[in-house]
Amino acid sequence: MYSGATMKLAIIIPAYNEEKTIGQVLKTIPRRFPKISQTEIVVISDGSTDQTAAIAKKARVTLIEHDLNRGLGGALGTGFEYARRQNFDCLVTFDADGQHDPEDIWPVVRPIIYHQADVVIGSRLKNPQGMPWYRIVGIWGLNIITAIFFWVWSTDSQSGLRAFSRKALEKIDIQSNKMEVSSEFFYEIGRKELKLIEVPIKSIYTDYSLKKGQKNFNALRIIAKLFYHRFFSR
Amino acid sequence: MNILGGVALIKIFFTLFALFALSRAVIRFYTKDLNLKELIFWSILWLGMIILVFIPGKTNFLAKILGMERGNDAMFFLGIVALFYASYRLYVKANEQEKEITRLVRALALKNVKRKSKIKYQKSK
Repeated sequence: MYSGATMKLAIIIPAYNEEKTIGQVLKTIPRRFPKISQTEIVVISDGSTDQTAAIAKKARVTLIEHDLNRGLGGALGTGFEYARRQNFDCLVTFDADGQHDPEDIWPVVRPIIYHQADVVIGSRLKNPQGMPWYRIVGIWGLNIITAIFFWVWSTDSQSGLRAFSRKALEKIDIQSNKMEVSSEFFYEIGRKELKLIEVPIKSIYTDYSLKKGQKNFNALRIIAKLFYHRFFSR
Repeated sequence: MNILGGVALIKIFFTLFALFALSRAVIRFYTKDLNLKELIFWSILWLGMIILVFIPGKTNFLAKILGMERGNDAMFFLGIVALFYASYRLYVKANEQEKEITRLVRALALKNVKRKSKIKYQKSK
């Protein structure tokens, strides 16, 4: 079914009140990749109350607007559903806060294009330069928790830069609404026996992205939710 | 503290509360929010509670079943268990409702997609 030259790629950008960074992020994302015939950038404005949607509207991107804020998991779920309906072959998730280097999209997509993996995680911790120590500790804590709950090991379970193959797109069923979705992906990867690889990516830490990003404090909430999803939900 | 010829204040409070709850059930029956079956259920429940409150030593058999010394301890124990279960049910319900809302928001959002740009590259390397 895959004929290398005609693959469709969707770059999903969940955004909640990111007017300060979204314009720059959309400008810098490359649209041409080897073996990709069509690239569609999809911004999911998750009930934003600022100019996020207006800025995305002006850029040449697809805009999906949630009427209410549902959280990261809710926004990514919408992106997945859109990609499934539009028959995309590959889906990339990319953060709107400007913490990812757009040059890292291709290294994450490449293993999907060449059928080396179903899911690729861009790991910030393979080369954690410039990352504050408390962030490293927080992410490692959640890595361990993710491994305990879902039996899948990742060096950066909370990374926002990931790529999914068509097979992964069809099999992954996101239940979480909020930040715990990052760990839930690993539940699905383990359960549906998807092939996972990790590639190193850079992370650009600015005061802004640090403020917007996850706090270690959130970890407790995430653990409670993961516990619920693992043992009580479905 | 005992007043009114040895009736504990808590019993009076409880009786008043039970009567109040019962009156709510009756009002809701007249406004057709409850049907007759439900009214009978709530009436038996609250009237039964009032009667139970005035029978001394009625919780002792419960305590014996649970291996506790006093009826009061058994009531506290059962009360806490019931509350834990109620909060668990609420947690589950809230979570499921969150999911439902997400589904709804998603369906609406996908209906109104502004698909402005489809950037196509016929041949790219």
